[in-house]
Amino acid sequence: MSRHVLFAVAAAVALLVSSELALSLPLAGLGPDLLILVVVAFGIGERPRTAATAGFVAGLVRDLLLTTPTGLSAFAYAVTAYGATLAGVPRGVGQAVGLFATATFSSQLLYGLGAVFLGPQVDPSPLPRMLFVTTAYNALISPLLMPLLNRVVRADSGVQVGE
Amino acid sequence: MWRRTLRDRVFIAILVLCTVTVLTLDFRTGILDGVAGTTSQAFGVLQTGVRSFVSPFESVVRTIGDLGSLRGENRRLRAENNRLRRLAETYADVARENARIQSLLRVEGAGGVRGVHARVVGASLSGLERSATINKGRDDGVVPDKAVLAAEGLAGRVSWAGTRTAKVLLITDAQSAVGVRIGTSGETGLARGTGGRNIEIELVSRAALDQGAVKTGDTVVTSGYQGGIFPPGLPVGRVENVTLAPRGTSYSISVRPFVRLSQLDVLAVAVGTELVESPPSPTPAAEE
Repeated sequence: MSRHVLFAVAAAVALLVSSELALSLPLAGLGPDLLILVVVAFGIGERPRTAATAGFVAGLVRDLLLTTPTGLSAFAYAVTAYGATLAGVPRGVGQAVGLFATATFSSQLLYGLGAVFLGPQVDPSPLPRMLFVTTAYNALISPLLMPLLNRVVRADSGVQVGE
Repeated sequence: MWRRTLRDRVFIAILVLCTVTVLTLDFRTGILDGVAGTTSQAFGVLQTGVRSFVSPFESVVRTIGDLGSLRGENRRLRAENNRLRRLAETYADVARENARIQSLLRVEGAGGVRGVHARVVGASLSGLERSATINKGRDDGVVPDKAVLAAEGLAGRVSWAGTRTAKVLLITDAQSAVGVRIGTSGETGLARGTGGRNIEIELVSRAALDQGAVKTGDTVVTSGYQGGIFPPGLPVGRVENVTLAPRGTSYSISVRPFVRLSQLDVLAVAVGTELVESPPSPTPAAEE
């Protein structure tokens, strides 16, 4: 199976699990954003343009499931994936967690600011909480997902995240 | 590390152009509505499948959580074997759901509402949006702009309906606005979501507020203007505080919803009304 198909499957699973966790976790309506983890993991070791394209497409699908203006997640994920790719392959779990946490914060900030300024009646007050909680969840989850991300997304490139 | 070339810069320009194009298409035309509907429909079906897979595990976890409060009862049941204990846990979960459905039916009956019952299968992917996906859609009579009830009272309204799933905009979402009546004074206002835990009531008569017509602890119910989405008398929440702005120009009325929006499971979509002789009095389950 090509990496692109694996990426598509991993992205779809990430969306489903994120939605399920937002329903089940104790902080109402807030959960991890697994999609950005998959996007960043896919982009590591790739050309920035490839990573950004993958981020744009994944973000666009996320946008289609939300009421905020379509294109905001797409742009946020694309820019984040581009930037994360420029940062290079993380060495060690600490660097990898830092990269995933920074990418989560950046993408959520870009998306949130876009939604507040362009979205109809979007209240900015939950934005800081969303940034903090989503980043914290992703930072906690990313070490657990690293073997899975390495296996599924990095299958045939030879690059290993956090090693 | 990749060197940024002219091609990369051109790519970034194209990326920005694509984003602006998508945003423009979204704002100016309805072209993306169909795509979004199809995507939501497909995602909703997958969410339903995932929820049915996850629910049994969640029930076991919840039951384990409840064991702390049932310690006394557990002492009496210590002699029971493992099989019976598992059966008891299953029964407790079924009984809990049954109680919630009974409460839901009471709220429906009190509001004179004929409801389609649905299960919540997913929550919003964004922290800026308060919504839930349910496993009933147009095939079941669920259409947009219908009130949605939980066991304790009003949960929100249908914002989008596919054939088999629908999206519910919760009353705490910043885009939600509900006409309400407050306490015994009967003052009316507009309850807007804040995106946070509570909702805020606006457009209440300043003179009435100056006279103390709205107090902490007052019950808030839907006012149900003719032609509106929400039937009258549905419990919404309780006034948590009434504060005068620092310069005394306006009041802020904060209301805590009766419905525990973080624990939604079974909901009823008000697809029709039944004749009632008098408006119901709110008896929210959350007050128990």
